[in-house]
Amino acid sequence: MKISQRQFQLLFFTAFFALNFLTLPSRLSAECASDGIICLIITSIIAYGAVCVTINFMAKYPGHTFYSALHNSLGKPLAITFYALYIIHLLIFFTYCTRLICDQISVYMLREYPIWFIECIFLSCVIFLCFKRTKTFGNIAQILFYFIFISLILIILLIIQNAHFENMLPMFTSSFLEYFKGTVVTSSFLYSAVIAMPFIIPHVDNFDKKKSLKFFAVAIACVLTIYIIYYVLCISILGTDLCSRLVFAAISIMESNRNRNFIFERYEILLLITIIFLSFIYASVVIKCIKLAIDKTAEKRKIYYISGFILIIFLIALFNYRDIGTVMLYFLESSNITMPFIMLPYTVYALFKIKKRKAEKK
Amino acid sequence: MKKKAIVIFIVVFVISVSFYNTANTSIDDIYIANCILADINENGMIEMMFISPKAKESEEGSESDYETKTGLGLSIIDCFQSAERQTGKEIFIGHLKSLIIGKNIAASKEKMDELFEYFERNSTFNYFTSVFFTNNKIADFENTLHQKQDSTTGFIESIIQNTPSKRFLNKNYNEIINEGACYSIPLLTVNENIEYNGFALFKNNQYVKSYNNDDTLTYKLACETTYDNYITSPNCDIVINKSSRSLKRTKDTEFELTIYLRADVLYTNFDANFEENGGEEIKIELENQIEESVYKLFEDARAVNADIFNIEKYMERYHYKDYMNYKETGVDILNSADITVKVDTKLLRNATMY
Repeated sequence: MKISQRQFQLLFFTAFFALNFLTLPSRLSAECASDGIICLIITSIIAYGAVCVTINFMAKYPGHTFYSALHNSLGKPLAITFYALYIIHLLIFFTYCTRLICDQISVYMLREYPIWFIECIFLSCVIFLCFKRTKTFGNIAQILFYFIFISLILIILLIIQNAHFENMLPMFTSSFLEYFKGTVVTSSFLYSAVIAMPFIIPHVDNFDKKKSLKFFAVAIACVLTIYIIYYVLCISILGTDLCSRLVFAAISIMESNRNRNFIFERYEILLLITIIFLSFIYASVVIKCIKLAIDKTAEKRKIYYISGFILIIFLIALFNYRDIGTVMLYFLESSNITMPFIMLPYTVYALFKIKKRKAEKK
Repeated sequence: MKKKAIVIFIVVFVISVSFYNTANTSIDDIYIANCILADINENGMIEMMFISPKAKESEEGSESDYETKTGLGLSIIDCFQSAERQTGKEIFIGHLKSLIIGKNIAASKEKMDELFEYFERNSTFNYFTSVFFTNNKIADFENTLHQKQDSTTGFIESIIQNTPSKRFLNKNYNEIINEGACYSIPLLTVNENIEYNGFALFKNNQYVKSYNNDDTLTYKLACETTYDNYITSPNCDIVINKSSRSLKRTKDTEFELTIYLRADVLYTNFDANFEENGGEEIKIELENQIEESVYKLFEDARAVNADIFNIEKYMERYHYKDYMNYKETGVDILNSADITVKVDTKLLRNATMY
């Protein structure tokens, strides 16, 4: 059963938040102090461009799966290459997301549990959902969206009292290279759900291109605003130096806020629950895309499923090798590998246009 | 078959989670430190005292309501481990309200860095912890605390007598980290009680100098927005309802510090007729006194090469290009700073009303 247009929109609105939501202030302030707002704006513009080209591309082939759309437009060799690149990126993002969220749960909620144990539970939930209908995702996204949105605003209201906005100064003093580095860092993971879009679009009931483009313009603006608010609040409370030293700056602030005697003690749990929901939706969408990719291309599905999951476990083990700070650094330092994800939709669309023109000339 | 497998899988996980949960830490296994004192003793060892209010059930007669545990070691981690061995519990700093730094540890930049780094590495550390300085030894605090019977969640506010918390210089950890190379924290002394007794100036995370309570008021007027502070001049007693400040750069390294006061006159020897002259004599006397004390404080700190009003930080924040130019050309901003202090007072009530 297909998902509705509204469910599709809310699903990706939520998924755009997920990856590195909590580590963003830390990494960005390490690269370009308080000037990261510029990097966030640039990344959001690039991401919206990627959303537009993805939607345009898929709208050209209504009723086709992503693979068949690629096959029809680019030919078999290029289609396989790009399809593989999409899946590799989805796998990396999925394992990184799993490691991050499980580490957060392990550090702040279930201190006594080993990380692999939490990962197993998280994976089992995600994989369980993966074998459910696409409609189930839509329903979950629709239910969780409002909770997530309200709690993110509530969290902002709770921590804004401690902000010293003069800590943001000096602003706009970074060099071009620092802005570039910051943009590379943010564009290596923010809005990474965009590469899952072409896999889900064929499963949307009466997909409306115009509506989607309008909605995602607003959605990305909202996501950007919340990213900026969190970034500004983290720096204005902790300062750029301290913020860049902490892996999960927002949680540290929420945890410190526990002495304020307001309604309940552990504010950070509210933030963590929100992040768990976000990560759950993100990871479910990504793993569903991988499953859809296997379903539509592989004849011997079982072998592919098994090898896919073995690969995931191997990647998770790889990500578990070091502590989360080191993993995060490795991930971001290898941004030149993960960064092209945002360029994939652009490249596919550009090649599609070139091929189309050539065909028209002939 | 597939559904059955999934159900079995979930059931197995739920059961294993339930069993695993029995190993979880309970509240009885942790020692909740609300206040930590850190210093270096005569033997050169780091000494840390972890203070925790006792649970209400254990109140008995004149027994102290504070529980203290002391850890000794060559490093901060050693101290924590030593205290944990004594208590048989894990020291939990998630509810830490106050960190009191002793004179000996404050003199060592290396140890101060180690202390702060330890807290920052702890995922439960409260970044809004109040930071204090003391000249007294840890044993002095211990003796005084054991005579106390008043444990509250306000902890340090409850043990510091005779000084309403509103008039404290209160600095949280996240504030001192962002204050610049120089920061100031309240000074506590132990006599019969633990008292608030001025403030200590730090530079590059190392203790520089202490100041008394009068200087604290001057510092607060020059650096913060304050409420309800008393000030006495030769001819009047005044309560400053609210004060605010603004630092501006007028030219190159010339700065103007303006302090805005909104004050009530409690008592005066002047014949203050507000309707005619707005209490001009009182104003002049008050403004001169504050200006003089601000100059004195600034020059006193400058003599030890400390930027008490964080002029360099101000330059970095608001005049970044010039700040970088000065840095590149080797201009010493602090020593070449020419500061002008102005006090703008608004007297609200006629003294004759009292």
